Amino acid sequence: MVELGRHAFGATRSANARVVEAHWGSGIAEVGLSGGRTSARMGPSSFDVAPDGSVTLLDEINHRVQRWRDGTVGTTLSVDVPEAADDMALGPDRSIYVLDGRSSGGSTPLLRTFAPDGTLRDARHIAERTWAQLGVGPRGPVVQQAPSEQWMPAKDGTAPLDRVEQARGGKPGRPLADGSQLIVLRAGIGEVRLARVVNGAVRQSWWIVSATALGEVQLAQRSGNRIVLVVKAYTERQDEFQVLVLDGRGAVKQFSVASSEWADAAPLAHFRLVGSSLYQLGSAPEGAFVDRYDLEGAR
Amino acid sequence: MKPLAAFLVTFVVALVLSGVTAARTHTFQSANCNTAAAQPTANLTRDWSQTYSLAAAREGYQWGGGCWNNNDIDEAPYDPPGQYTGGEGGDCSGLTFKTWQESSNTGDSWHYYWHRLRNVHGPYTASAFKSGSGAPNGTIYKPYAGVMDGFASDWHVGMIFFRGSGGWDQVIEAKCEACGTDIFSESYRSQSAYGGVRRIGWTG
Repeated sequence: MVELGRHAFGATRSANARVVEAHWGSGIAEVGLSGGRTSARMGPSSFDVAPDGSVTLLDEINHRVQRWRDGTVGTTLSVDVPEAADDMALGPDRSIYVLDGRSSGGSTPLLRTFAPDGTLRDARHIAERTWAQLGVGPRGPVVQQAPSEQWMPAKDGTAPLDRVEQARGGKPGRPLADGSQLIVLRAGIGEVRLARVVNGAVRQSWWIVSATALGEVQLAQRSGNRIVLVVKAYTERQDEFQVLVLDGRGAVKQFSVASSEWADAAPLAHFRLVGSSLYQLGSAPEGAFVDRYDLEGAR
Repeated sequence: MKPLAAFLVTFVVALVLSGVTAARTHTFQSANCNTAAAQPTANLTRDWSQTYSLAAAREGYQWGGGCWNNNDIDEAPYDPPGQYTGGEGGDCSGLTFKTWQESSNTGDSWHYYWHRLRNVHGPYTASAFKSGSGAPNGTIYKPYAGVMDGFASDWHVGMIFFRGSGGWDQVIEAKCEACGTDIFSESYRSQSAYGGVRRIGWTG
C-alpha cells in the first residue's frame, strides 16, 4: 500500500528540458488551435517520442505531423487526419499510428497507419464504438476500446486485424513486452489499484491511496523492474499530475508536475515514457510544448 | 437579336442565382425540423436520458442548434465553426438542455419532452450550466458526479455516459464541428477549468 496523504498543490517539479515549444498558428514550428469560444478548445492532440529523443507531434488542425529534435522542427509530413482529439503512437519501425477522434457515423473509429515518410499504408476500423487510449504492444498497436475497456490488438506485426480478430484478442490489461499484462483500476475517490499479471496470476500489485481526489491514470508503464504511474490529483479549483515510480517496496520516487491543459488533447495522451525519461505534452495561451523529466535522480 | 440575347443572359443569370438562393435556404433545419410545443412529463430518469442522448450521437454538431434525426449520418458536415447555418445536430449546451428535459423558461424546473426534431437550443450557455444558472440546474462535487450528471467549462459542457475504470469518463457531448456529437473518453472530471453540474429533480 502506498499512502499519498493530502496532495500539496503548488510544489511542482521543473522540467529538465523543454524539447518542443510551438506557438499557435500554421507556420513552420507552429501548431494549430481550434474552438474555444463556442466549442471544445483543441490543440495538438497527441505525441510520441523515439528512443533517440526526437519528438513526433500530431498537429491535426494543420493536417500534419512534425518531428522535433533539439528544440527545432526537422521534418514536417502532411497526413490526412480529422481535426479532432486523435491519439497517435510510433511503432519501432517509426510507423505512425493515428486513431480517429471524431464521431464515426455508421461505423467505428479508424486506425490509420502511415509510413515514416507520411504515406498512408492502411486504415482499419477498431472493434468497438469508441476508445480511451492507443499504445504499442509487443506485436503492434493496441487500443483500449470502449465500452468493454479491454486492450485489443489492432495488428499482428504488420498485418491489420479485422474487428472480430481484435475483439478475440482483447485483454483487461495493457500488454507488456514480456507477455504479462498491467491492469489499472481507479477505484473510489482517491484510490488506484495496479497489478502485473503473468499467466493469469498476480505477480505484483500496488494499492495507492490519496486523501485528495484522484482523476484519470494518464500513464502506467513498466520501466525495468519498476512501474511508472502518472495520475491526476484534483480539487474543484486545482489540478496537478502526480508521478510515482513504484517497485516491490512501494513508491521509490514521487513528484508533481503542472497539468498545463489549456487546450484539449486526446484524453490520455499527455505523457510518454522513453527509457528513464518522462515526456509531457502541455499547452498554454501562447502555444503548446513538450517537457522532459528525467526520472533518474528525482526525489 | 440584341434584346433577345440580353433577355436570355438575364434569364440564365436569374435562374442560376435563384438556384443558389434556394440551395442556401434549404437547410437540414428548414427541411426536417419543427416548432412543436414541449410536452410536460412526470418522469425524468437517468437511463431514459441516456437513451435520448444516444439518438443525437453521430448526428453532427451545429453551433446554436438543437435538431437531429437518428440515422447516424451528419447531413450537414463541415459547417463553418461558430456560426448557425441550420445544419444537423445540437451544440453542447443545446444537447444538454434537451437531454435534461428543461423548460425555455429559466424559472421553471419541471421536465419537458422535446422531440429530437424539435429545433430548440434553450436559454443556457455552457458557462451558465457551469454556474448552475436556472431553476432546473445545479452544481455537484466532481468526484460524486455520476451517470447523466455533467462537466461544464466556460466554453463546453458534456454529460457522463458512464465512468471508465481508469478514472476517465465516457462523455456524451456535442464537441465541435469537426468532432461531431458522440460518446468520447474525456478527463473533464479532473480539469480545474471544468465544474461538476447536474439536473435537479431526477425521478429515477
